[in-house]
This record gives sequence, structure tokens and C-alpha cells, in this order.
Amino acid sequence: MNQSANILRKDFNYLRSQLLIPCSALLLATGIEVASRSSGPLQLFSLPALARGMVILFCLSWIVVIVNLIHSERLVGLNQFWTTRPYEWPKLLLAKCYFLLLLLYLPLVASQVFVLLTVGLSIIHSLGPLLLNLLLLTATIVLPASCPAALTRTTNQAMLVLLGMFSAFVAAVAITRSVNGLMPGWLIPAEMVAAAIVLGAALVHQYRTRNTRRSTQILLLAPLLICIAQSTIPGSTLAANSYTRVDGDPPLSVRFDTDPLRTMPRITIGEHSSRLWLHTPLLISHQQPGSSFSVDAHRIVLTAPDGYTWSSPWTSVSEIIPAAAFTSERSGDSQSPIPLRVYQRLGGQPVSLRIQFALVQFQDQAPRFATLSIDGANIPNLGVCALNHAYSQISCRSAFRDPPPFAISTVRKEGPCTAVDAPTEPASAELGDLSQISVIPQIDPVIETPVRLTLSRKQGYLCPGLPVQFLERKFQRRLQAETPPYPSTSTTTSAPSSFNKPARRDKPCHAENRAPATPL
Amino acid sequence: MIPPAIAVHHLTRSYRSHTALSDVTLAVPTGSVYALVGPNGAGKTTLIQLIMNLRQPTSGVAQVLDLPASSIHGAILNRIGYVSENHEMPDWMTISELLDFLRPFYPTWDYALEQQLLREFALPLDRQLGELSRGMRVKTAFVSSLSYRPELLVLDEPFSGLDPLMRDDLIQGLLDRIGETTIFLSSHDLAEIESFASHIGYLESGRLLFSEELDSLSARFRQVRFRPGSTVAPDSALPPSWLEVERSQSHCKFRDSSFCTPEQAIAQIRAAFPHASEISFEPLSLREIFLTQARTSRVLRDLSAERAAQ
Repeated sequence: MNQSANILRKDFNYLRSQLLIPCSALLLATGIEVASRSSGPLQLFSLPALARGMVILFCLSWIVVIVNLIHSERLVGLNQFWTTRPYEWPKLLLAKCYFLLLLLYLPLVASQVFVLLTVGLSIIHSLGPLLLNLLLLTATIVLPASCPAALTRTTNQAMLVLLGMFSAFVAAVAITRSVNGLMPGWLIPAEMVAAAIVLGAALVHQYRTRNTRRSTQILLLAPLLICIAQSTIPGSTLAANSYTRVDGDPPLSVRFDTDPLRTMPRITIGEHSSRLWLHTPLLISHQQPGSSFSVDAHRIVLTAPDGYTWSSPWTSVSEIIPAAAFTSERSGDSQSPIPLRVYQRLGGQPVSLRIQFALVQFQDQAPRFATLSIDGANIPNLGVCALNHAYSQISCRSAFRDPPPFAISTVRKEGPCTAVDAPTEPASAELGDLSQISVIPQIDPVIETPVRLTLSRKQGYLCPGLPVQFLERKFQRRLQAETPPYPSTSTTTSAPSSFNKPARRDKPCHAENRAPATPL
Repeated sequence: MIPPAIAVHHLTRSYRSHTALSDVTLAVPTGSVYALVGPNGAGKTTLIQLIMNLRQPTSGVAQVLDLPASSIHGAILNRIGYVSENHEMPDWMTISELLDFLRPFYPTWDYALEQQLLREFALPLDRQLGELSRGMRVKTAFVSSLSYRPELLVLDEPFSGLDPLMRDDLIQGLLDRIGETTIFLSSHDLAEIESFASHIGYLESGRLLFSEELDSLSARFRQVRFRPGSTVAPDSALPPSWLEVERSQSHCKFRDSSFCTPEQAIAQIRAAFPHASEISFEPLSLREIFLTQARTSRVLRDLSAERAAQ
């Protein structure tokens, strides 16, 4: 018998009782998933929570199985029976890979394909995301569980190392997030690929040589590489550089809203904070038909008459302008943090203010039309969008990833669906964004996104048969936009703004400063 | 000329400041039964681990079955059997499952021999290894290491902690293999080794003090008794090969470790004690030789420590 097959059979006999847990959890999660998608109006609200619990159980029990799988031919120590038997290390490693392939990946893929088929998503179109998801599973669960197992003697030791690695990872992500407001989209996936390569190298090295010290040194390269990458790669600058400056007529115009009838600029101080917040009203318009934009990040630039210039770091945007794309002239509000030390440096001086934006431009594609139905309409690149049984909401289901940017518009009846002549009113929504590539593997393959329609009335009915339009917004380019300086440097009559120290620091203060004649 | 089954040249293994094995050179002739003896911590297990490529030497080389020890892995282990007192077995397996699992690894596995050994050792096939007594586990390891008729069998303290009946069973199993397999074993069980070892190596504090055929060792070590007569020779005048010398005015006894004929030994005695009479020679058992060597080494070590302290 082939050596790998022999070891595989032995491992299966050893771990078959332990395999019952992840297999049962997966089976249950799949059953719940299918039941919750098809049970119609009688959905049990606790089912999704149970399904999530099963997914967590599946992942945790698989980590235990992987550790025990590696430990069945322990690689640390000198007294293991197998080290003086004619094992070939590549065949041993291959046997472990076969085990994972047959008993982890295959059941998981079968379950995911079954769920995708049940909700009506195309398997052919989901093949790429499915394979990518398996790679993510390998990089985030299988390799991180295998490596500590290969370098330890006992399950407890392996679990402790795994816990340490997880804590280090969480700390690194937290630090990264706090340091870098804007990250290049490729940075985390690249770090992840590098970490997976290092983990894989440590694992193969340990199987080949059983030199635990050297393999551990290789393993420690992973966090070292990530730390070096985080501390040396200027994430924000690199990311900002990938947003090109547009020469000539910009496709998007952002300027300060100086209409005194609308909200005026003001400064507030955050409670228990060493920061001030600068609130500035904005007017946004775009000049290219068929285009739309979303804001990824922004930063403010303050310039004092003495030449002192302070630029804030690029900050990911959550509230400055809604992350969703915008298509016409509209008002927005920029809330920019300014450190107290900068405020004190500028205090009392007239300053010039600019706000820079990192934007993504989308090109509208040809719209697709469908009718609202409970069974749903299959929209290419989006997934299946269906009306719920209560006729209250549309949800879109996509495979493995959040939906890409789409504009959805439909009509809503003002009367019950049975009233044929009831008047209708338009309703629309923006769906999806181009956020960073998700590096979290999905066990449940279906991502369900509710379509939040903007409506002028609270009452209304989304009825089957009503038309609905899906407009895909395809990524076109990343670009930078900038407001003209405030106050405008070209307007000599404008008095410069100045920073006065706010009266109180413990609560928001209302700076009744009126632009441009009054100080900020 | 048949190359030795194991040839070790100036093998040294150090752990930071501690030297576990120091400049060991030995050869295990093909077809021999080589017993490596020595007190606890002498470096026997380290030497075996170096030979089996479980550890890497600090310096020196070892050749096993005419191959560098560093190349011992994978298919080469089809030719080598290994049993260790500390061997970790897959405790969840039954004996039957273990043998079923190991059989496909060895093209030379002899099923008839396996069955014969199982009968001889009276092993319960359906019992899990974790439930077996120490003796049963060692027997199982023997069956799994002998059934493929290895050219070389390496045994690390195989008899330690076993009752006499178990030991006899195992030794009988080994005796049946003598001739077709070279056996290299470490043991404290000198009485049993004496019954079947052809070669002996004595390791003390990481140094190999001697390595020779058992017959020549037996001939070299003997207990000598005589009457010294009126002459009193100082200790420094005694030959260094005289170990554990006990002297009184009427009687003198020592253990001679020089490889010489009785005539040469008598001449040595007469040189130190011209009036010596009633000289008699008695053979020493392996156990007595081992103890003599161990005690002498300890005395010499204490002496050198004292000198160093002074």
C-alpha cells in the first residue's frame, strides 16, 4: 500500500471520533442555513445565531483535529516510534494534506455548493470566490493551527502558542488601524500571503529536518516581517499615492458651503479628548454624467500666515460624506480632528484651510431590469435579490463576498398590493462598496445584504411584480480632489479665518464663527 | 573484507558546557552482538541516538551499514530495527493494528516470523498498547522490529525494568536472530549480556574506556591473589593495570586488567614483590569487571578532583 494512504488510513482511525464534532457542526450549520433561507414567513429568529454557533464550533473543533493530526506523528522529541521507521517525510506531509483535503475541504465545499444551489446562486460564477475562500481558510486556520502543532509536544502547548499568535495578530491589526487611517488595499492581503508563505516554509522545514529550533526561528519571521512592514511601509502615503491627482477640469468638485442659511463651520472639543473637531459644511457636485464617486479618506491642511503648515493624517471616512456613491450636488459635513497642540500653535492666528479627498470614481453600466418577487431575480455580478415574505424589504444574496457597488431603484405602492390602482412612489438605494479585500474566510457561503431603500413616506408596500432597476457601478479609477483654500486666497477682500481658543474644554462648544468674515 | 555494521570515528556530542560523548571511536563487526555498558549518564543513549541519526554530532562521523549516519532516514530504516526503553508508541492502537499499520512499510516483512514471534511472546493482539505492561510493550516493539529481518538491530536498554521471565523470553528471541542480524545494544543487565554478547564496549562519562571481544576481555581481567612475603612495595611501584588492590602483611589481592599471559603477570608480581608466593588467578564475571572498572574510574576521578582543588 502507498505510504501516504497507509498513514491516512491510520490517522482516520485515530481521529474518527474527533471528526464527528466538526462534521456534525457543519451538517447542522448547513441544515440551519438551508432551512432559514427557505422557511419563508415562519423563520425562527434564533436560527442564524445557532448557525453562527455551529460555524464557530466547526472552526474550533477543526483546529483541535488539525493539532491532533500533526501530533499523531509528533515532530518534536527523539522518542517517537515513527522516527525510526521508514517514513518518507514528503509522504508523511502528503498524508496530512490528503486528510485535510478529504475530511475538511471536501465536506466544506460540498456543504457550500449545496447552500449556494439552494439559494439559487450560480456555481460557475461562484467558483473563483469559492477557491479563494479555500485559500483564505488555509492561510487563516489550517496553516496557523498546523505550525504550532508541528513545533510543540502537546495539544495544550500548541493551543497556547496558537492563542499567543492570535493575540499578537489582533494587537498588530489594532495598532495598524490606529496608526494608518488609510491603508493600501493590497497591504493586508500581501502581508497575509507573506505570513502564509513563512508559515508554510516553517512547516515544511520542520517535516524535512525536525529541527525545531530552526523551524521556530523561521516561524518567528512571520510576525517580524509584519512588524517591519507595518512600521516601514508608509501605508497612508502609499495608499494616498494610488489616488491620482486630476489635472484640468476635475470630474468632481468639492467646495466649502458658505451659504449662511445652512449649517456654519464650528469647532467642538471631544470629551476626555486632546482633540478638537472642525466641522465644515461642504458642497459637492460632479460634472461627468454616468459617473459616481465614493470617498475613501480625507485629510485637512491648515496653513498659518507664518508658513506653518499642518496636514492631518489620511483618515478613513465614515461620516464626512456617506461612503455610498453620490451623483448630484449635495451638502456634506466634514468633521476633522485637530490635535490640541496644533490648535494651540495656530490659536489666534488667521489660517487657511483645505480639505483633500481620496475618491473612487465609478462608471455606471447599462441598467438591468427585473420585477420584485419572493423567488428573486438573478443579477450578474450581484447575486440573487428577492423580496421578503412580509413584502417589507429586498435582500440581495451574493456568494462569499459583499456585493459590489450597485444602485437599485424601484417603486413602492402607497396602498396594499391587492389595490391595483394604488399610486406608487419611487424608492432607491445604494448597495455595496469597494472596501478592502476581506481576508476572513467564510464557512457560510451566502452573504445577505439588505437593500435599505430611501423613502419619502413611512408607509408603503413593495409588491411582487413591481419593476426594479439594478445599475452596476463599475470601478473606474482612484483620484484625489481638493477644496479651494478657505478662505479663498484669490479673494483679497476675504478676511482670513483665525483660531480662537474655545471657552470650555469639557463639552462641545458652539463657535459662532461665521465664514469668511468671522474667525473659525 | 566485510565492513563493520557500525563504525564510529572520534564522535563527540556537546550540550553547551556539558560533553555527553567525547571522542568515541568503535567498530561493531557485522554479525556480532555488541553490548555497550556503562553507568547511568555515561552517554550510551546519546551514542545510540547519534548512530540512529536522531541527534547530530558536534564532531566526528558515524557509519551505519556502510552509510553515513546522517543519511539514515526513510527507506534505509527498512534495514535497521530499533527498540528503546523510552520509545513512545501509538497507545490508542491495538497490537494487531500496529502490526497491520507497519507491515506495508517493509518490503521484507516476514508474516510467518511475525506470527511465530507473537506466539513465542504470547502477546494479546486485541489489547491497546496503552493498556499493556512495560514488558508487553517491549515485546511488541521487538516483534515489530524483528519481523522484517533487519540487518542491524539497535536496542537501547531493552531489558531495563523487566522481570526475569520477560528477559529470558526476549533474550531467547535475540539468540534466535544471532547470525543473520548484527545486534548493538546498551544495557545494565550484565549477567544476561554475558550469556550472548560477543563484543563489549565500556562507556564512562562520555568516554569509551574499552571496546573489545568478550573473550579477550575475560582473559584480560582476572583476580590475582598471592602472599607478598617480607618485601613492602610502595603503592607507586605497583603497575597501573592492577585495580582495587587490597594488601595486608600476609595477603595481597588485586584485579589485573592487563592483557598478558599468566607468566608475564607472575613476572610483574615478582618485580614488585620479589618474595611473592602462592600466586593464584581467578576469572572475573562481566559484572565484576564492570564494577571494578566503574569503581576505579570513580576513584581516579575523585583523585583528579582533589588535585584540582589543591
